[in-house]
Amino acid sequence: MNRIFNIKRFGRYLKSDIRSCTADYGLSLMLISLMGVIIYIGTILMGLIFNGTWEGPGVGFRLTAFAVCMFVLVVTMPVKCYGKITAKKEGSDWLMVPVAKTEKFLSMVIMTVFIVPVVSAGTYLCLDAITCAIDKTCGESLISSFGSLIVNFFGMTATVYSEAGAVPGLQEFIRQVSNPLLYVDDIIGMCLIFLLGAIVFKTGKTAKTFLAFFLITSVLGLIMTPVITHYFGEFAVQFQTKPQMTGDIFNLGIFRHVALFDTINDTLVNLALMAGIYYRIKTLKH
Amino acid sequence: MINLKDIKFSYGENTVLQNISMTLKEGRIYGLLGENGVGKTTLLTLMCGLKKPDKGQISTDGWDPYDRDPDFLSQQYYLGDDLAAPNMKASDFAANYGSFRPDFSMDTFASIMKEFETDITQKMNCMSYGQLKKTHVAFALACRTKYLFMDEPTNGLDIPSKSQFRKAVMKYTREDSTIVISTHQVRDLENIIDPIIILDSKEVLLNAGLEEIAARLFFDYSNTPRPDALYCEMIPGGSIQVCMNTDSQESKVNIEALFNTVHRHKSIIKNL
Repeated sequence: MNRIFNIKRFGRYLKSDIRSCTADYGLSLMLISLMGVIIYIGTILMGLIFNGTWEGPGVGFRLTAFAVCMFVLVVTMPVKCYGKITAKKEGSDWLMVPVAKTEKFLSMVIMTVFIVPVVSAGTYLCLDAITCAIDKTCGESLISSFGSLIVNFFGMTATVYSEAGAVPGLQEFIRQVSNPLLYVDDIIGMCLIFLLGAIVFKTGKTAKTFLAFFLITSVLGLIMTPVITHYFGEFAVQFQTKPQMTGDIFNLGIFRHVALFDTINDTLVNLALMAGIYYRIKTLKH
Repeated sequence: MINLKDIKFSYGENTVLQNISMTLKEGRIYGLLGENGVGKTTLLTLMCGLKKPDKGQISTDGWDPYDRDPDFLSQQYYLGDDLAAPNMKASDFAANYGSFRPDFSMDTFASIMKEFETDITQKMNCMSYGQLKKTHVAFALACRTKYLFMDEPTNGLDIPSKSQFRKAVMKYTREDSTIVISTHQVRDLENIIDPIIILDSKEVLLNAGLEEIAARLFFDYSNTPRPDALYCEMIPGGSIQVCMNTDSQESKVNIEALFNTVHRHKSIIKNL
């Protein structure tokens, strides 16, 4: 067991990984975390200079900026912290650290999907909340607006459908897909995709990851198209001619248990991505 | 003890090492010599587990290096020729990675760094190549591992540092350590390496201790030309000639002359 996993050694390694990642990515992480405040101050300054008014960015703009910053973080962090392991110099040193492959893998995954995103998003959102507490023109903070935004979005969708007629099963479908926790595994999946890309490709890591992602999804799309057409083609035709007939589709098992199916699908994808990351660590040579 | 048995390794179609078999014993400082491209670095990286042989087996005290078992890795250190410059102070680097090495001593690291006249509080990515090399050498020695593989460790070191390096290797390595130093700078390490391994393309030409070499080859530093010399070279103040030691005469092995002799008379040396 000691050869595969040792909790004390893993703790030491995670600490060392945090230190090394802070040295490599600390400044960028700080910049991304402060971006909300920077954008806020920038917008106010622009308003003062050009309009002579004190006006911060609206919640919609701040939410978009937050999403963009988090996406930038997810894309850039694995390359900066772990991309170096494909280089001969740094990679040799990394491979020779006397820690089990399992521990290196776990530390890498925990850092990428949990520690760094949580620290950055937490700092970003806290600073946003503090900004809104100080400046009353800010309006609702991002944290408090998340819930209402999701409810409003799906509420709006439900209203549109309701207006088209009674749609059996739609309310249940909306209840399931409007649960924010349903998207946590998608975010984890995105972090894992960019981590895998960072440790697989030697150069052009981000561009090649995007390209590989596009190619894989295109191929999967081509493979899945006949299946989808076979099962849901009839509903697609019905939807085009009589939108209220879509109620039938929500009675299908896959839509009645959409959260379950989505979670199973995302879990399988994430497990496959993690297996890929582990395999890469195991077989990396320099 | 490191055992290599029928090792074969290729980069694509290009076979670098073939049928390499040898044993490296404890408590020795091996000098791994060879021309450019014969596979010295490849052999070192195979021995420390950075690469996997295409064929054959490597066993280090029963471990397969490529398994990269943490207990095995903690017993060895690989110092490459091309070194990473992490964005941290030398002392932080040592504290960070030394914690995984059971015999690492921060005091030893600081002492070696002092002997090398290199500041441990300096950031490694701001160091010159020589300073970076000294920092990595200091860390490698401070780990006091049983197996130490060094690829061109004196490259980039200034003249005083080369002497300090030799002293540090002798002073800070364990008595039971097996050290393998791959180098072209044989004069830098002449007094510390013994035995000598000479690699040729795809094979080991020589793997013998200095005493054994001196018993078989005679290094004549006199100015009298010898018709039986396998190799002759003019040196300041005279010449050096290498002949078969048929009369069991004592002489000091000149590694550079030995290397050249081995390369000119491969079959004779292999059959010695």
